[in-house]
Amino acid sequence: MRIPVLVVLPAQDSLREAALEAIQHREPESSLESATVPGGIELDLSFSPVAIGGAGRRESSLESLQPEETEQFVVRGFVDAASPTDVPAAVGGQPVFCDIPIQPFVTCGIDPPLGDVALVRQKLRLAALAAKGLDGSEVAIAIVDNGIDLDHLTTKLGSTPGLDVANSWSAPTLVTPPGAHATDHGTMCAYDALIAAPAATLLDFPVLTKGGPGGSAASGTIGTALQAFSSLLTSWRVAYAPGGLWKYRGLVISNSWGIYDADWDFPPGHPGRYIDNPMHPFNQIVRVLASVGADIVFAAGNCGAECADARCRGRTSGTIMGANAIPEVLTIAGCDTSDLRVGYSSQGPSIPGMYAEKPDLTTYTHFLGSETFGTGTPDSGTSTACPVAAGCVAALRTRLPPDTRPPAQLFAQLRASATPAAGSAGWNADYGHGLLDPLAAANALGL
Amino acid sequence: MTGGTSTVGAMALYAVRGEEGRPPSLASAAAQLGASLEDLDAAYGVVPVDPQAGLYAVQARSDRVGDTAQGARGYQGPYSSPKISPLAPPSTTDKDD
Repeated sequence: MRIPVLVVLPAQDSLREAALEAIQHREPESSLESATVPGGIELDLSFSPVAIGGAGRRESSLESLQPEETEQFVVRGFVDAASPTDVPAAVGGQPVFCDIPIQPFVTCGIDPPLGDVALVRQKLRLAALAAKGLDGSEVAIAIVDNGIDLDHLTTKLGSTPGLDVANSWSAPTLVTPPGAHATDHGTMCAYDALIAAPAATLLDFPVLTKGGPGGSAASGTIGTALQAFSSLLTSWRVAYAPGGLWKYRGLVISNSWGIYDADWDFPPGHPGRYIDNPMHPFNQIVRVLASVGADIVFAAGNCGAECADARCRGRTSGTIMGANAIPEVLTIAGCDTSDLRVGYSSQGPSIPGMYAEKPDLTTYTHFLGSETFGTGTPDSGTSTACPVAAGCVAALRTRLPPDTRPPAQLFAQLRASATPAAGSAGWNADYGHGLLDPLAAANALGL
Repeated sequence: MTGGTSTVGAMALYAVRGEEGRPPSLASAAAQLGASLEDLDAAYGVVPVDPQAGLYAVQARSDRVGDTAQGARGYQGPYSSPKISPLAPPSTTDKDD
């Protein structure tokens, strides 16, 4: 195999000239090909020689680091060896060093916010989207989560966002009215959904409640989520009751929840299992809702390889599961504001048995936004990326009714308009089809 | 059934059939399941899944549902109702926040 290495060579005219050309930003005229290089080293002609001063001395003066004065250069080359361990320590008497690949540090859960909501708006080009009148007006966004604190949103936004109390939902045992829940995860999600769709109307769907199963502070069950989705289905396209959801131009359903651990479900092979069974009633109702024009967005999950949530219990493959992994929904991975996937964002492919090519798209998380969890804390997790994307979908729906452009077509356009990430076109396991670009999608759709 | 792998004795989801374009009553759902009315979760109710296809969901005690082969009496299940959790903020412990 061809292994990249760094080699220290004695100074020579061709190396001095090539180094000076690089420092002075001149077009390369000299040819590194004329450099004397030990046998077995293939010189990398794209790498400018680097002056490293005097030979055999631990300290170098600044003068000795000038290309004209240096006694040695480092050049980059390639060695043909069976494996990195077979690379010799020296070739032709010249020392050989590993040119180890380096990568930027990924953002992890404990890291502080990277950028703020203003930067997210800028990167998503939301001003241009708003200039087209795409702001979520008369579009409903259901925040299926652990409840919304409208007061916190009002404080953070400087105005009270729209909340449709009548079309919100809660489990019969929950007495807290819509919009009056504790400041928590659902409030963060609502804030993030309004970034791209500030004129959208929120629907509060608290399926995750304190004292949920397992004694957790905020959790629910798929059975409860099924009730909530059934309420949405009935109001949106079945009952057509006065004042029901059908009055909206669009219905976007944002789902920043999922399953961390396959052991939470029935055992593998059980026909009633949820996570890898498209025929589970919840996965069925998701498909039914999508078929009648609801745009359903799910977070990919927080089991990414570099810094998975501890609740993933070390499992980082096949972790996009259940409804988060069915083709009719838009599944969202998270990146930071430098466009780099956050290390906890779950990677594809999905769990076997479900649609493999998830996530679909990537968008922003881990920025300073709602400060739901305290001053200076980030809006984080793929939980944040999901409503950011849901807001973008809602913005597009302002002038794009689902009757003319069903969810499957809109999502296909969003995938086609995405900015390829990591230099690769097409789907990849980290970013899906790339970074969400709502403005490009709007333009492609003629909005 | 939540948060575990046992399928016996706990509430589980079942898919039942509607009647002439309408949701089944709880009593009808219980009859489809071969269970008694008390074995169904009345608070959960009858939940439309795909009304056009006549598909509804109920919760019932899995140890009280008839041992008729799955689907033979028009119902399907048991289906799991596992715990679901918010996907933020990323946690460094394996307990829910």
